[in-house]
Amino acid sequence: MTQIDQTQMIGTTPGEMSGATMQMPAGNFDPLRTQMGGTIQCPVCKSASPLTEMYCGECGFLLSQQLGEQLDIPAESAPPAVLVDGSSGHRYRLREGVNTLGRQGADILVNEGTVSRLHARITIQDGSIIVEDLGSSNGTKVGAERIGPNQPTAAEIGTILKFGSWQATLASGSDTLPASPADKTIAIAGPDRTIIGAPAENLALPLQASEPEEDVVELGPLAGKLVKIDGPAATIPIPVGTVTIGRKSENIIALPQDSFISGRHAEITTDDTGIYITDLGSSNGTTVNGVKLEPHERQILRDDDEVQMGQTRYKLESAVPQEAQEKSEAHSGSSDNEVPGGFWSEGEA
Amino acid sequence: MEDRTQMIGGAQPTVMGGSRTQMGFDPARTAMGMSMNTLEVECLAGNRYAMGPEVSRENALIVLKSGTQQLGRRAPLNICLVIDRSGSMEGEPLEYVKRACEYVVDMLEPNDILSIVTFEEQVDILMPARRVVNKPLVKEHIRRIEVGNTTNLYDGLMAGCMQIASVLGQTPGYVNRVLLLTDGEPTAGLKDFNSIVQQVGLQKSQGISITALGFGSEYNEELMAGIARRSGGNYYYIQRPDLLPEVFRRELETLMTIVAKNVQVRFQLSKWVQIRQIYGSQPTFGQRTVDITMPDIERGTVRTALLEIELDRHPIGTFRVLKAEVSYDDIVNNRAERISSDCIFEFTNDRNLIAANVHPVVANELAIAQASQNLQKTMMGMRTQQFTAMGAMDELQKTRAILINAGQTGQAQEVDAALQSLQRGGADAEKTLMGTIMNLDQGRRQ
Repeated sequence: MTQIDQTQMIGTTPGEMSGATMQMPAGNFDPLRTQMGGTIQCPVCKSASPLTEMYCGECGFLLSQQLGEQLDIPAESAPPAVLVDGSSGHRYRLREGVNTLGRQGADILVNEGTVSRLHARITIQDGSIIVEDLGSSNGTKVGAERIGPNQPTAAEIGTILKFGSWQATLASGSDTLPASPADKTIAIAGPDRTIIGAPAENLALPLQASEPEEDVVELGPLAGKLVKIDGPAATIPIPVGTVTIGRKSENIIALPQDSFISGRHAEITTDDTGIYITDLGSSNGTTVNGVKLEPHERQILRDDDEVQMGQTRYKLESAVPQEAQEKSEAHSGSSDNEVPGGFWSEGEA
Repeated sequence: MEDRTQMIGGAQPTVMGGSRTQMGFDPARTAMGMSMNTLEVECLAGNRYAMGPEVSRENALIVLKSGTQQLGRRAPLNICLVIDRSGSMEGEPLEYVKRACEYVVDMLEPNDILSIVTFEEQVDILMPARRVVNKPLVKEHIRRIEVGNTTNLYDGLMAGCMQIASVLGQTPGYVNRVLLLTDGEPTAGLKDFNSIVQQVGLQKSQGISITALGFGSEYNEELMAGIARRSGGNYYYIQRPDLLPEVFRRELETLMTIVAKNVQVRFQLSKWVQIRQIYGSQPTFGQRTVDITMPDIERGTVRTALLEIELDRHPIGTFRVLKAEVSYDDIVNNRAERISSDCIFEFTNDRNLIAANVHPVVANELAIAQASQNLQKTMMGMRTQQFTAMGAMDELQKTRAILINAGQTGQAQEVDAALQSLQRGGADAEKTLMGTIMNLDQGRRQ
């Protein structure tokens, strides 16, 4: 089991933190870094919190404690379905098996006068959804149909259900929630090698799958990186899978430093066949080796290809052999300006 | 200082909390400490431990305490008396109402603002909102109140709220309160429960609460308690006309001890945590936040809210599962304040630890929440004739025992009063119980 040094600091300037008071890593006079504070990375959920915080702002982990030996809790799968409250939008998670619904003591608690204490039952089994009224006072509707008591009725994702006068829609449990910057952003600070949110690739994270909309945030194994040559934005890590890139925080890779990069600028997809970049219709375009890409047409990237977005130029470096990585790590470790940690050091764990 | 816990002539105003709980919310203790805050907040985990490897349901309790010492000013009042002068108030009731209103005038100081609205079929503004300077003149107007016909409660209530609202801009830091007195069902104007209560909710959102004073045996206790509950005001059942002046006096004294108003609680949830319910509240759910509004808080009192939470699997270790952020207007110091408290659980895989570490105060609150739900069931059973009087009395006995056990002696006495009423074959048990339920749900603990 890997012991993680949770006190490691990672310099960063995520936009939403810039107002907070934070400590600075010592001996650091890089002007770009003066905007950054020290942050601490949570060993459980990998999100960054200011050093002044006692608990992780995301998962609540007490940051001063050592993480125990219990990292390999079996991941909990995404709920098979959710019930979305028609007026408030509140999402009630449904579980595989029987879910009771009612005003008191039920699995799904609905505080509404027309809902009976024990009103109905929603059973989910092998992908099928069955709704059954349990003799409620004000009845249950599946779609437009009013169902009698104790009459199991099939429903599916998208069906509108009505319990008394409370209305809700069945939705897929893996639907993404509305974008919330705190949940999705990986902010990259000005200087290179200061990336948060890239976890070690062989660390079994607990509960990783419980909130599927966050899976993309866990960058996973890196296929390579777009190393900055020059320009205001930062080096971009490229994980396997798809990441969106842009200036705004709802992108998986946010590059707020370059104002010539569009809010939603490009997408990089990596699979067995290679690394591809697609311009998403950005205002100032994306060039590869000096050739401007057609929007929405993907372009393969090879080692040493030069990519320009906004005012920042990059060179592609695909994943390097382990020896080379260790060398690079040793090198970066010798520089006293370096912040320890970051994804360079995590690959070899 | 008068002992408020005594009951007066069988009136059961629900603000009379009775004795303090056994479980040790002692406001006096906090006042003696170092704290300079008007309110203190504490967020208690229902158990020190929770199971890490499985999904579990737990409780959490937020406790708001105000100190007992009078530091600084008393709350200036902006109040409106909204008085039912329908035909049924004729004679003794109206005479006592006038006396009660005069009492209020006597108690107010030049800094306070008073307005008086009367209603029957029509609504009259007897006195628009202004400072009480010429007391004899105000009383003269009060003496001229005469009975009319029907009961247009809604329009009367809204006219009262408008009087308060008309001076809101000039009265920051005031306690804004309508005292609504009625003896009957609404018979004119808007009568529908949901519509009225919804309007009351809008008034609350601009900072106006309503204290509902139900008089006699004919008023609609569900509506009156609903109005008070939705707006964070108090509810009183006044059995006899001669009790009117005393109840008005007591309510006014209560208002004068308010130290915090506009009390809002936001629960910030950590990842892997959901709130299933907050007992007795209608919370607003956000993506990772849950908001509730609490009633105004008087000096030397405790308000609680009990949460049921669901915890997903967690790694073994200590986690803050939620943070309660309380914002309020501090009336003593006339400024906005924020306080917060963390709710911490230690996740373990040792079931024995969980069994041995239940928090007694939270467990007690859970028993109280249970008692409230029992009372609601009993009342519903009485209405739908599911329960005979004997059956209802059985249920009430049980609930009373729970309340006594939970240290809620005052509320237990109210259940007692309802029991006695049932024994006499009286029809007003529900009027008393309605207030008991409201007090239990609103977490007023003394």
